[in-house]
Amino acid sequence: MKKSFFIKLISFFLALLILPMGYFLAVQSLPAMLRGSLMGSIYVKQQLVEQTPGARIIVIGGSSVPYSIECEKVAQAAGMPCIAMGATAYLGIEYYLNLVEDFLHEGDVVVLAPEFAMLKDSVSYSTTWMAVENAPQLIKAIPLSYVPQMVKAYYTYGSKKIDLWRQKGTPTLTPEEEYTAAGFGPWGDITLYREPLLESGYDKNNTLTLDEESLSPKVVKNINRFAEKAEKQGVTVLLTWAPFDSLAYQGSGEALQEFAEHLYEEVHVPYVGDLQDCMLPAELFYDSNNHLTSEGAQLRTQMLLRDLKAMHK
Amino acid sequence: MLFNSWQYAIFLPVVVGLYFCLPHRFRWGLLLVASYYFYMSWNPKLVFLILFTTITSYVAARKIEQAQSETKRKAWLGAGVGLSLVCLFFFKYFNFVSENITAFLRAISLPVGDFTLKVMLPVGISFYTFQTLSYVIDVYRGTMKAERHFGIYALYVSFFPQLVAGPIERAVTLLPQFHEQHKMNVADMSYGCHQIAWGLFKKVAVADIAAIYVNRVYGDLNGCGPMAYVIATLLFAFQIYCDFSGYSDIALGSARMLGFRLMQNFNCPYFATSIKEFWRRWHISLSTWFQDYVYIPLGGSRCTKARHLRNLFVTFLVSGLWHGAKWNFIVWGGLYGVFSVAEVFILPKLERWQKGLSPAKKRVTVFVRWAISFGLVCLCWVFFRADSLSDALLILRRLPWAASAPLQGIAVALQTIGLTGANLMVLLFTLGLLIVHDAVQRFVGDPIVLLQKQHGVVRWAVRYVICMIVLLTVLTAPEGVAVEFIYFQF
Repeated sequence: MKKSFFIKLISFFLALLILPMGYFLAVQSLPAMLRGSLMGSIYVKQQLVEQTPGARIIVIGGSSVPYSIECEKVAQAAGMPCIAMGATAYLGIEYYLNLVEDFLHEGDVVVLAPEFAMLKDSVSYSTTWMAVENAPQLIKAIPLSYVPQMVKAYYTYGSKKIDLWRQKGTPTLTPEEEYTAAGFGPWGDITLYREPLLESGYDKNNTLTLDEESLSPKVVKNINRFAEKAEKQGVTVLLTWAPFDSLAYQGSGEALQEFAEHLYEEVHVPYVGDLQDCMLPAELFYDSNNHLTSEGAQLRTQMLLRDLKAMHK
Repeated sequence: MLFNSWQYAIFLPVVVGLYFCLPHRFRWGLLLVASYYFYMSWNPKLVFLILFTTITSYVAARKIEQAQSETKRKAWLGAGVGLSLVCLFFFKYFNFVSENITAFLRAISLPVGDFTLKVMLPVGISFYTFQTLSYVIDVYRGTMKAERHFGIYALYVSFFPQLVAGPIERAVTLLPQFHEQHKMNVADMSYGCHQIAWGLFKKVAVADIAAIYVNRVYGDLNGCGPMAYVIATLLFAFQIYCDFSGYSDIALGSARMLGFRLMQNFNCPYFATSIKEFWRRWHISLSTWFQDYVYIPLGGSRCTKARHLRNLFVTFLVSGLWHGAKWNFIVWGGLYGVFSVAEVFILPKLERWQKGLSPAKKRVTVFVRWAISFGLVCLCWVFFRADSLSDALLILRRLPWAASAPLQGIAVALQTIGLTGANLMVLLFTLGLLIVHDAVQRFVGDPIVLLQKQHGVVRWAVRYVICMIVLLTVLTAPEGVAVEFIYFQF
């Protein structure tokens, strides 16, 4: 084949990239629009993990973590700072693990509290873009397996970012100010007072049933790999449950029991508490099947501390 | 590994590159390893099933050839065909039969428990089983000799371009190609690339986009009106055509790059002016398979009229069942059987009458025939797409209401399913391109050959537009849109 043919072919493929690359550069040149929001809070939380010295308790999970853990109380009981490292379940557990992996200290306790969506490995790649926007340290933690889907999801994210920019213009608050305005406390939990908002007691569009596919082998592999590596660094890794609105669970008690046994068997990390406790009464939920009210967060924090104590006995 | 995935975009060039770098005697090995890797990327455990079918059919064919008596030949034929069919039945039809027997027994007040098995449907089982069946039968009939080289036979069963959704190749045409020494050929490479690009266009820019709106309607029948059913069914007609023929184009293109010629599986089916013609143009490899191994053995058309009609009906019914273990598919096949039987009476008279018409009147009648045929095909698609038989019947019951205020209904339906503004324009544009392509293929000639004859600027411009549409559709598609090929489930 002639050299000119290959030159034509390469030029052809490069020409195809002009339009998508132009769009990418245009969107990237806009200021970050979502930092400080629930999704964008990951930016501040990552800095907390990176900059807090000494041993810490780091609770990793989805949005249920800031809505269910009272960091101050845990810190008081444990005698070390507690960071609620959760923004949204749709970033996937692998991303969170990558994000903290390089910043763990000896003596840290990592409590994994993944939501059911995380155990199933339901990742939203446009949400991931929103969470990591314009922050190289957050982009660096994106797992390689996300890349093809992230490329595809860029347009969805880009359109949302452009819409926000058109409506609001360049944000006037710093990410930290936006973060505080969104109700986050200094350690990543939501400190805003919350009362139940759900009309029927649960979100009907986000119900849960459990089957064979509810626990992704990829998630199991990632948790086990992370725990193995972290333990070598002198970090204690524990697994616990994330709260779920009992009204939104549409499966049977046996299915939950079966799922719990399957989880304990597959994940080689000590389990704090009992998975079956995760189904909490509807009146403890704020605005979704995973977000607790202030009263709910108080109860969940007590349960976690109780279970941690029981574990140490 | 899907044809429309980045993994395949790496896999294919690597295989093609290695294939032409290796000496001829090692090439079958490379293709076999690549094909098994391709298949195992779905589920590694499934490899045992395809191996079982390969071994049993290979042994059966060799034994048929070696057998001295007709009884032994028949016994080996029975064993070869039977074992392949047992596998197919177990994985595809067991639960369907079991559920229906249970329902029947309960209906006559016999207290029986559920008896279904937790088995998954192995990808491509219907396709490769039919390839092994045709091979064993052809050896029995003496149409071809049994393949001695087990590796090459295993490659015939598992050849990756056509493994999971056809075309269902005949051993008599494909097996000899594995023995041939292929030289790297620029014309084949170029043609193959064009076929792949066009297949991707059909799948990504038409099928996957149409699927969004079709799923909205068929997934929420009570939330949509009858006109939305009409629009969704029309879109489904294009979705399934582009999904399946897109897959076939990529399969043919991939094989062509390696120097293999696979059979054409689609030939502008929606230009057909009768159901008979439609089936000559739709899923050709399956239609001819049923013709050769079901319809003709039953007696074909060279028998009494009653038997001929029965043969036609039975063939379509079996074809429906081949597509899936659901009553929807059986009714779908049955409907085609009824239409085909009706055409046996109508078509000869109609064609005689058409001969006496003026060219202008003839054109009108051709158009009317096309409209009726296309309408009937769409009617059948309702059964194919609906989630259940009751859903399909619900659609058909409500369909006549669409005629009450058609124009107003269209506007409301498009709003309901979210097909408005730019989305509508883009879909109409891609459908327009598809129709122009098929019209050129039907009335002028092979569009790829025609394109290759054009001036360089035109050639590259057309390629650029098609590839850009594919790229932009992929990059702007909503998250979570299913990209699997529909025929994988069969």
